[in-house]
Amino acid sequence: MKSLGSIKRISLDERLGLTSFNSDNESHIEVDNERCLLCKTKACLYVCPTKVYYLKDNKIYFNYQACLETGGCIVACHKLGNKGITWKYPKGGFGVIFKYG
Amino acid sequence: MPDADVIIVGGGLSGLSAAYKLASIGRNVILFERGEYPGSKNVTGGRMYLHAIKKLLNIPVEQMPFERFVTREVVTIMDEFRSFSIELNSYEKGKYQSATVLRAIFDKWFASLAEEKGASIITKTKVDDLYLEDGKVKGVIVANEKITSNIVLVSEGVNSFLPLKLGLRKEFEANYLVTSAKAVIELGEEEIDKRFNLKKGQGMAQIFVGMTKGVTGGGFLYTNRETISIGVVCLLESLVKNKTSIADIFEDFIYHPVLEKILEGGRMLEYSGHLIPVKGYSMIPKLVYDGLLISGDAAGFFLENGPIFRGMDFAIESGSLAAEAIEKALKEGDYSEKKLSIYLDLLNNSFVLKDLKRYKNVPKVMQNERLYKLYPSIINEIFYDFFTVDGTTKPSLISYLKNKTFKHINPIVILKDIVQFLLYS
Repeated sequence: MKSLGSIKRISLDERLGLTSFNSDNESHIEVDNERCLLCKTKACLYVCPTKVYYLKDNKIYFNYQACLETGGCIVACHKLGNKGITWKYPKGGFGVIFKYG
Repeated sequence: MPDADVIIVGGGLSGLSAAYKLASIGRNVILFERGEYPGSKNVTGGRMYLHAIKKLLNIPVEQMPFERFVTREVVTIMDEFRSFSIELNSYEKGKYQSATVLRAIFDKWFASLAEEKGASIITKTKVDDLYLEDGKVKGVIVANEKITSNIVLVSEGVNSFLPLKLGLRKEFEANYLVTSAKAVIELGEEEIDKRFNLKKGQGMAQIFVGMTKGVTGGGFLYTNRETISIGVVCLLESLVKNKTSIADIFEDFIYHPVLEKILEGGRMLEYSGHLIPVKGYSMIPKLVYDGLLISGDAAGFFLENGPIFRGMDFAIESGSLAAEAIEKALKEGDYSEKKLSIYLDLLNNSFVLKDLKRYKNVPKVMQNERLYKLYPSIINEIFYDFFTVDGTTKPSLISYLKNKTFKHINPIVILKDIVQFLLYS
């Protein structure tokens, strides 16, 4: 039997490095920070498995290239947040490519 | 002449089932898949209950690209330091109800079957919109071009954008959906057999509750042939309310002491996530429109009932029934909503809508927050104390409950929850 290395704590960035993407140059996500500034819940911060959205100096930043395309952010933002996020699927052939799924 | 008899939006299990069936009887079918290949955007926990795929394909399930056939079911109730499990082992040979599966592999194979039957599967192509003439659906818009068909089947998955645009469903609420974070971890086939007490080809399905920091949700672990699928599912609304990230819940779960020895030496291969529609019968959209049908996750066909999660059998059956309805409509050259409503009759007579109706109140039980922290910790405390022998004499059961358990929760609340469970389950 082949030897197995010991399991170590693997960070979100390392986990993301294991997933395949064909990233578009253009973002499929837009954020209107004027709306986010007034948003009390910042719902987008909690529902994304790759933490695409993050808060810095009271502004929402996002890394669209890490998007697994769940679509959870749009529902959370529009129902519990202040509708600052515009999100659609990436163009055909772009975005995440699951090898196992 | 339209470009095709039928256009199918989405190459998941539902769209592929319909494509397979319609192509088998010689219909001209075009299926659009936005991913690199069918399966590349699809994720399951997971396991598939096999009855629907068995009925659709005339192939023994052993010859389909499943991972393992489930013979061992485990439910584990956790708190921070302890776990309490219930398990069912089934040793009857050859009587498999479900199998573990990796969708990127399975769907790709299924698509090749549909292609052999003559379906055109066009990948890397996103359908941007439906194409309408006189208020009737007559095709789709792809890269600013219209492609026409007599009927469009929307099986585009849980986000169900096209039905929303057409006004066939209302916007989702944040308690309609759970999101998930999952990893596939390689352990090796023999190692999995040993660690999970399985014979070759046999699999385990394990569900966890109590490890989500009070967020409505749970964990799962399914054994594949050489890998395991492990992850967490959490209600969107509850994540936001508790200000807790799904990514953090996932991380804390896989490093919980309960999993330490199980995952030891494992190599993570992929990290993934997906949405699941969990509101059941009450979130189903209008399923039929002039020239259009909706099936699978896009139709909200999903059932969560305690440790049982079913979406894939509904996807396959609804895609298959949509194909039957479409064939009838094509034969008669009538693509109106009225004609296509045969689909509703077929669904009503199948397990799809029968089961979704039967369990329509279950979401009310499942969204009780006490199930996810308070009860798991109480159960673990009771059993831990029960198994404790330390030389002190224990009080009677009733005074134990009075002095310990009922300090955490009023017994009337427990009674209410039991009554609700009995009424709605």
